[in-house]
Parts: sequence; C-alpha cells; structure tokens
Amino acid sequence: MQQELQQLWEDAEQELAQVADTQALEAFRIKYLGKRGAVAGLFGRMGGLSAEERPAFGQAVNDLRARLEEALTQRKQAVSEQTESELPSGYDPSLPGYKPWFGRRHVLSSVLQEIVEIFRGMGFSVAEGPEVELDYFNFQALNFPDDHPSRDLQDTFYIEKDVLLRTHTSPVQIRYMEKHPPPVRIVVPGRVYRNEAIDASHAAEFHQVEGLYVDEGVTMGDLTVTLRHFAKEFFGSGTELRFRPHFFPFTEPSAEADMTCFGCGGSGCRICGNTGWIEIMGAGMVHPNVFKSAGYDPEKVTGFAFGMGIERIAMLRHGIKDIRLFLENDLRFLSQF
Amino acid sequence: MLISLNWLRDYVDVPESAEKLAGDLTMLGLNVEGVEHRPNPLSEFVVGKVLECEKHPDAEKLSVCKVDVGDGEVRNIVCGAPNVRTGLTVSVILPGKHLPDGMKIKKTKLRGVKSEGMICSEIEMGLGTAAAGILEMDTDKPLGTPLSELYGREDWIIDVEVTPNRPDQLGHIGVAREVAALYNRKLKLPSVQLSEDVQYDGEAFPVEIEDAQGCPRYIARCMKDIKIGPSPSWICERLEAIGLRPINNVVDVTNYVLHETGQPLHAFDATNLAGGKIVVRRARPGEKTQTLDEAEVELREEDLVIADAERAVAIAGVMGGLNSEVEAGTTDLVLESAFFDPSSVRKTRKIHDYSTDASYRFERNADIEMADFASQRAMALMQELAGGLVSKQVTDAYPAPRPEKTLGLRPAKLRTLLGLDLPVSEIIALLKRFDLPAHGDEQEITVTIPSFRRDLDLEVDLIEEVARLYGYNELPMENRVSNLLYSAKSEDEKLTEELHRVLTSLGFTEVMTSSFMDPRGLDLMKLESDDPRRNLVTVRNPLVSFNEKMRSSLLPGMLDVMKVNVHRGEDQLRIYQIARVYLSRDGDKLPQEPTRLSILLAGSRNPQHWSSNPPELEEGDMAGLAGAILGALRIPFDMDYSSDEPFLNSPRSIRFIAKKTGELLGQGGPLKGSMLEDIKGASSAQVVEFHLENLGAALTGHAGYKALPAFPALKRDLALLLHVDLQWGELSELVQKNGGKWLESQALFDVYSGDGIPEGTKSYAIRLKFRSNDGTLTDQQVDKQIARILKALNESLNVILRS
Repeated sequence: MQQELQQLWEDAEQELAQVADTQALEAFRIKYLGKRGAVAGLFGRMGGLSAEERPAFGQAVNDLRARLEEALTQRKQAVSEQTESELPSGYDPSLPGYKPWFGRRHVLSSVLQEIVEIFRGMGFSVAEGPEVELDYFNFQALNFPDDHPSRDLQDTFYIEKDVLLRTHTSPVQIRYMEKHPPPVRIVVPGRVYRNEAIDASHAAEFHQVEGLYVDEGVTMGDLTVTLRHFAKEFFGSGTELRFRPHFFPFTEPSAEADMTCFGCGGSGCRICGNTGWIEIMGAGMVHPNVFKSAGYDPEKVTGFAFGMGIERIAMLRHGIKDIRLFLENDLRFLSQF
Repeated sequence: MLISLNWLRDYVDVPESAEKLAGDLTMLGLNVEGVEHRPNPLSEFVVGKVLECEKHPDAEKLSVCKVDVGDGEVRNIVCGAPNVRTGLTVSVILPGKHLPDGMKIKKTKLRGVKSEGMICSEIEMGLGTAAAGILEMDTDKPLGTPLSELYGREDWIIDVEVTPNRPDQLGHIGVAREVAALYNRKLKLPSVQLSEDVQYDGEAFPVEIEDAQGCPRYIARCMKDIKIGPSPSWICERLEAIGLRPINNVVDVTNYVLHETGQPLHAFDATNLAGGKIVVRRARPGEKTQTLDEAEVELREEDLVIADAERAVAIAGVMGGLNSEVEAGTTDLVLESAFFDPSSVRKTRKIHDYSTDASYRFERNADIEMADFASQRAMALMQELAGGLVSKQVTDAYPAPRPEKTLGLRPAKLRTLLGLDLPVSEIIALLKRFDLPAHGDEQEITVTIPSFRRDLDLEVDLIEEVARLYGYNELPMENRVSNLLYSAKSEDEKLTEELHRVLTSLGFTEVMTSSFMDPRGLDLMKLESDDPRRNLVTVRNPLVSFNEKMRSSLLPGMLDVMKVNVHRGEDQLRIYQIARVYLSRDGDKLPQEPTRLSILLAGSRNPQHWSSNPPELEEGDMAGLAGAILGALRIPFDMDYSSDEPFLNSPRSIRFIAKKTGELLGQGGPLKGSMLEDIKGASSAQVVEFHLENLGAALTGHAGYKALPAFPALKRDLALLLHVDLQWGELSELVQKNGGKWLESQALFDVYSGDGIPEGTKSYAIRLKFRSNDGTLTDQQVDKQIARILKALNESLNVILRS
C-alpha cells in the first residue's frame, strides 16, 4: 500500500515537472486532485480496509493530497512567472506610457494660496475689497493727506477725480474695521495697480497680501514674531528676518523687513547685492489716524499691519527673472511650477 | 539724496568706514541704496622738478623741459604753459596714467620733439577752475611723491533713500544729525559770523508779501561790490561729488548751502530788480516768465511768483527767472531765503512739470527756522569767495513765527506699543540723542519739537524715534498671536478652492490675465450696444491705450492666452481662470466686480500617444466637462440650447440653469469661427463662462449618504431607430419619464447613421440599468418596463427598435 502511494507521488512529481502552461496544470489537477482523480480513487478504497488499517491509510492519503496540492501551487507560480517574463519578439518595454492631461494652479495663485494658508494657521481670516476704489479708502483714511508728496510713492490710475484703481490692498483695512469690532485678524490677498512704466521688474498690475491684527495690547513684538514665523514657513526654517525703520503713512512705527538671502545665507552674493539681506515686505504698528478713520479708539487698541508683493516673493523663491511672464501665460512657463 | 562722506565729516566725527556707516544708517531707517568709492584722482600725479627748460625749436609757445620725478630717469616733456621755467616744482603725470576726465597719457611727439608725460595745471588735475598755467608747488616732499599725499582726498558717496516725511535729511547737516544720534556724538554746525570790516550799513531791502499763506517767511539779505568768478577747488569738488556742476562762486554757494542745510536759496542781481523791491504774489492773468533754463512759462493765477515792481522774476520755490539772474558782471545781489507753502509749490510744480532741488524740498516742508541760518551761512561763504560787503540790514518778513511745539509721550503707551519695558530716564536719553529736548516722569514725558522735525506730530511718532534708536531687532518678541482666533473660510473661498481642485484634477491649467482689455474684443464678440458688458470702466490716465479699459469679460484675455500659445507652437489648450470683471453701473461711483470662471478648451480630446491618434474635440465635449464640474460641486442643473451669446455657435451652445434657484449659472459651447480669425493655426475652441455668485447660491451643501444597493442590477441594451432631427435630450427625457422607479441609469453608447438603416433616420443605442432595493428583479419585471418605454417612444416620438 505504502509503496503504491509512493509510486503515485513519484509519477505525479515527474509529470508535474513537465507541465508548462495553465492548460496542462488544469489537466494535472483533474488527473490527481479532481473529483474522479487518483486521490479520490484512493479514498474510495477506504471501504475495503479493516478498521485497524483505515486510520493509517487515511492519514497517508491525506498527506499525499497535501503534498500534491503544495507541489501544484508551486508549479502554478513558476509557470505564471515564466509566462510573465516571456516577451513576444520585438516587444519594446521602454515605449512611453499614456500620460493623462495634468492641470495645475498658476504659480502666483498657488504662492498666494500658500501665504494665506500660513497666516490662516495663525488665526488670520481672509477679507477682500474692491479693486476700483474710492480715494478715501485708498489714501485719505490711511493717513495720506490730500496733495501730499507721500502720494507720489504710489503712482495712481484714476477713473474719476475721487475714484481710482487701488494702489495697495490696505483700503480693505478700513473697510473691514468699519464693519467689524476688534479683535480683528485678517489677511487680504488681491490685485493692485500702479501707474508705472512696465519692464522686467515693474508691472502696472500685480498682487499683494496685506495683514492686519488689532486687539488690546498688540505690540511690535507680536509683529516681528508673526512675520518671522511666516518667513520660516514659506522660505525655509533657516530664514531670519531683520526689521529696519521706514516710512509708511498708515503705520507708526513703520518698518521694512529683510530676510536672509537664500542665495548665500547672509554672507553676501549677487542676488542680495552683497548685503546678505533681501527686502521682502513693509510693516508697522497701525497709525492712530487710521484707527480714527475706521472708528476705533487708538487709546484702547493697538495693532500691526504688513504687506508684501506676491510677484516679488514668487520671483525670489523661484528665481523668475521677468515679472511680465506672470500675466503672459505661456504654458511652457506655467508648467514649470 | 547723495551724501559725500568727507562733507558729512564737517558736522560730525565719523571714524567708521563708509560701509559700516551705510549699514548702520540703513538699520536706523535711512536706507542706503549704494556706496560709491571715489579714489583720490591725484594719486595719478607725482611731484617733479624742472631741471632744464628751453624753447621748442619749431613752436613759439612750447617749451621743452627735462623733468626729474625721482626715479633716476630724466624725462623729456614738452609743455605749453607760459609760466614753466627751470627750477620749478611741478605736478607731473607720466605715460600710462589717467587724467581725471579719463584720458590716458601716452608717449608722443610734439612738433618733432618727444614728450614723455605732461606737466599739469590745476584744471588738468581736476582741481577747480582757476588756472592760468601749470601748478607751481612749494613742497618738501621727495620727487615722485604722489600728489594724493599732498592734496585732495578719497571720498565715498552714499546714496540715501529719503522718505517723504523726512525733508530734514535732504541736506548734509540733517543726515549728520542722525549720525550724531546713532553714535551718540556731537553735531558741529559751521560758523556764520561775519567780521565787522566786511559789513556795511545799508537800507533793508523792501519785501512785500501779498500772499502770506503761500509765503509765511521771506528773508532778504544784500551784498555789494562782489566779484563773480569761479569757485575754489574745495567747493567744486564737493558739488561735483554729489553730481552738481559748478557755475560761479555765487550760484555755487547757493547750491552748496542747499545741500548743506536743505534750505533752497536764490540770488538775484539787485540791479535787475525793477523798483528796487521784491513782491511775493500770485501770478497775474496772462503773465509769462522766462526761467533760468530759458523756457518761457505761461503762469496760472494760482502760481506764486517772486516779482519786482514790474514783472515776475522767479516762480516761487521752483525756479529762478532769466531776467534777474546773477551773471559775470553782477556786483550787487539780493539773497532770498524763504519758506513757501508745500501744497502751493507742489501744485505749481506738477502743472508746469518742473521738478527742481528747490521744489523737491519745499514740497516736503522745508525748515522755516533754518531759513535764517542758511541765509547767514550763504552770506559768510559768498563774502569769503566773492569778496564785497554784506549789508547789516536784514529783511525778515515772518509775521507769524512758529510757536514752540511740544508733544507728550506716556511711557506706559510706549511700553504697550513696543512691548518694551524701558525706564523713563532711558527714553529721555534716547530722545535727546536726536536733539529732541525732553523731560518728565512716569506719567508723561514732554518733548520739545524743533522746527527741523516737521514729521513729529503725534505721540506714536516719538515712540518710533525711541524704537529705531533702540533697534527694532532688539525689541522683545511676544507671542500673543498664538491666542486663537477663529479663522473661518467664507463660502466664497470654499467654492473657489473647490473649483481649483476640480479643474486642475480635470487637467486644466490656471491662467491669470490682465485686468485691462482692448475694447475691440467686445466688437469681435459682437456684443449688442446695450449688453451690460459694454459698460466699461475707463482709466483716465492710462500708461498706454492698452490699459485704458478694464475687462468686462474674461473671454478676450483667454483668447490672448490661446493666441500667445498657439503662435508659439502649443495648440493643446485646457485652461481656466477665476477672476473679477468690472462692470460700470449707474448710481454708484464704484463698479460691480463680480467673479467669473472662464474655461477654454482647444486641440485634441486626449493627449497625444503612439498607440492611436487622439480624436479631435467633439462639439459636445464642453457641455460634458461643464456638467462634470457642476456634478463635482453637487450643483443640480438643467441645460438648454437657447444660448444667445453672439460669439457662440448658437445651435450648439448651452445655457446651464441651476435647479435650486432657477438662475443662469453660465453659458458655453463652440466659439464662432470669426472669433479665431486672429489666431493663425487655430481652427476651433470651446469656452464656458460661469458666474461664481450664482454657483455659490446653487450649492446644495454636504453630500447626503445613500445606502449601497443590496441587490444586483439588470442591464438592457436597446438599439433605437429615430428621425434624424430628433435630439438625444428629448429622447432621454422620455425614457426617464417612463422608466419607472427601478430605472437607475441610462447611457448612450453608440450613435450611427448611414448604410443599413432607412434614409432620414439614425440609430442611438442606449444601455438601461434597472435595480430594486427590495429584491432581485426578474427578467419579466424588467421586460414589462422596457415595453412601456418602447411604447411611449413609439407613440410620442415615432422611435422604433432597430431590427
């Protein structure tokens, strides 16, 4: 009996070694493991055995079946691997695959979004305002007196005598504070306009993000902390900021912020004109006259404001040399970002 | 503002290097935009001795000299100066060296005699204008010593950005005052004392001020018996260092004092002032004057002028007149030092488009108290340079002297704003470094504001002074921002972000185009004259005609993008833009600025691949995409084919209507061919424009969960034969209506017309899917429903099953 089983196993093993495709595998399975296969036949003979012989024989047939199944599975795998690695003649595996359309945001739009998200994480909400704006909101309420040289800082497109294209996003400060009591923590992304001759670094229409935080007891320290955090998030954790006194009519004290040059890390190179620093934005503590325009009491609240040019920031980070590329929309440009 | 470091050092000690100073000034708020090193030009010249001097054999006026410059070689130099002679110590420049004007000296032959260098005059050395011949020197220095060790200095020119609030920094003294504060040093002002013997007792020069508002102060000082001539080298050097051209001793002094004190001055030839007086008045109707640059200016009645008894002799605060100019023969002069109203000067300057050093300063508020000091300083310098006598009688028309001004500064306020706990004594000490007298206590510090600090008007202005001297970067960093404030995203923001997400995932690239447009784009779009998009916002002072009109539609900009790209060889366009348009409206000064989404599609349907040629876009593709986008936003909508956009191919263009609001969401479809005439190489494009406010209103909120089907679906395919004019929309609607509650979906999977079916018909094959939530459907149940559909199709639309 044992010998018969052993013989069966050896035959099967030999036969299996010859099996080379799925069809033959199936034939093998039917012959040995099928309903009327060899193993089933062996089980059929159980009836003819004595009660003493049966358990040992049953055990032996079960073992044989397990070994056959195991061998079949292994062979199956080997056959399928072989089939997969076999190539029809002339097959070129390096042919390019199908590339679906790939869409992306405009680089300015995504930089703007990224900046807004960083400030959103610090509790700033987004506010917006009109681009065609009243002189009052763009200048007067922001402490630019009528007919004052400070207006020369921002050459303006006029629609009417007192209607203009906003030269900065700052009018939204006034519009927002007029409608909302403190505390206020907003960022204002948007398009602005300056009547400037256009060249590689000057555009007549560009984008800014403005920020404003007003509450009781806001200090200049809050301002520097906020902007330092932004610079690290946006330009990299090694980025440092320094603040220089400057003049803006709507902040006092006013500052310009420089960041450590990413070209040289601060030691001086061509990008930063050998100073180690690159100017990135203007900022300051909200001027009391601005609070008064907006109906806030400068004795009760203090606040800071800042503003940055998105084109400038995007040009700095991505090394873009010509500001005119942004509105030209050459897809070869847009697809780089 | 250009600052010469040498000049600056007259008023304050600056042992620091120019680079250090520039860096420190920048951090103090005087942003230095550049530092230029000017080496001493005299380093090119050396001390030499004329050993022999003989007449040139062939030239009357030339001499041939043997010159020793201490290097053991005796050089032959031909010289044309009348004063050259044996034994003189002279300034020599050798071949290979450069004159200050850049000319390179070469070995040469003059009338046949070789010349190895040049013996120089002061003019040739770039030292002033006085030179009748070569410089005769008296020095113990050995021969060959560079002249830079004897004369002249190297200098650094520092370009300081002066903000409009700080007119006091538009002169060297003003900048020196900041430097003194920066390094805590003393400011030294020049002496303006005149000795008795250079003064005379004359009459005070009569000045009448007709417009005291336009001219709150006018000082006139007189001189007589002066001699106009060139200025000495030290003053020329300084003027040239900051880019000014020396003219004569009197004009040079007025320029020098302007750049020293920031106070503009003007000198009149006294004999040219008719009636011997000065009148400050508004211009008369039709009055004209000729300015120093010889231009004739037609004055307006608002223009403030300086006049004599008869005519205008200067435009006040802007420019002097030709008729009263100080000239070579002038002996008597009147010096004006005045204060003119900033906005009056600004208006006149803008109208006549004349910006001068004077107008620039008056516009920004000159220092009314500095006027007298500057006038005295100029007298002293002119007397020194041009001789003559200075009148003891001074006219100072200053009817309302500036009252003393003080400002309060509460230490508590300073501490709140800066987050800096500075003791009172330290605040006071910092203010004093800026020449701001201050005293006070914990409650309040009183600060006297000098006239040169017109910018200090409020408590915060003083706080900034303290902060910038203390150092912005030394302020303690606080962290109140970590106090959470709720920063919600508005619904508009969410919608916009969702649109960006959906569109980019559909393979669309975002573009951003100009807010301006060429209004001819609207003609191309064939918009009616009463279309709201014809109500354009117009810029009155555009840069170029291109940016005169603001866009009322995104389409022209999208076509510009298509044009740019097609012309550069990229004809596969899947682009979109979410941006504002500007629509002028009656009854409101400000236009509407609604946001639109514009999508443009051109080229093939799929990207190019070697496996097969990608099909061109079908005309319904935009409708399909737009539907997908609305579906992704969960905006239920209806479509109809009644779009009236004149630039769309009308039978194929679609209106999308929100089911929720009934409002128009947008319109789209294939562009008329005429829209693309301008774009060589483009045959077709499809566009759609959505109104964002209407999309927002049509949103239906978060998606609601529907239980997944528990039972299998049954599918049936029907090949239908229908009249060629029958539309899918109509057919599909009828199927839906008669499909019963089990009809889950229907899809068109084949369209055929041609051989094998009757003339005048077409075949649409549709796949219907039925499913019940209550159990597995049987064939009989579905057959019944199919029969009902076919019956309705046949009865209403004459549609039959294709055999």
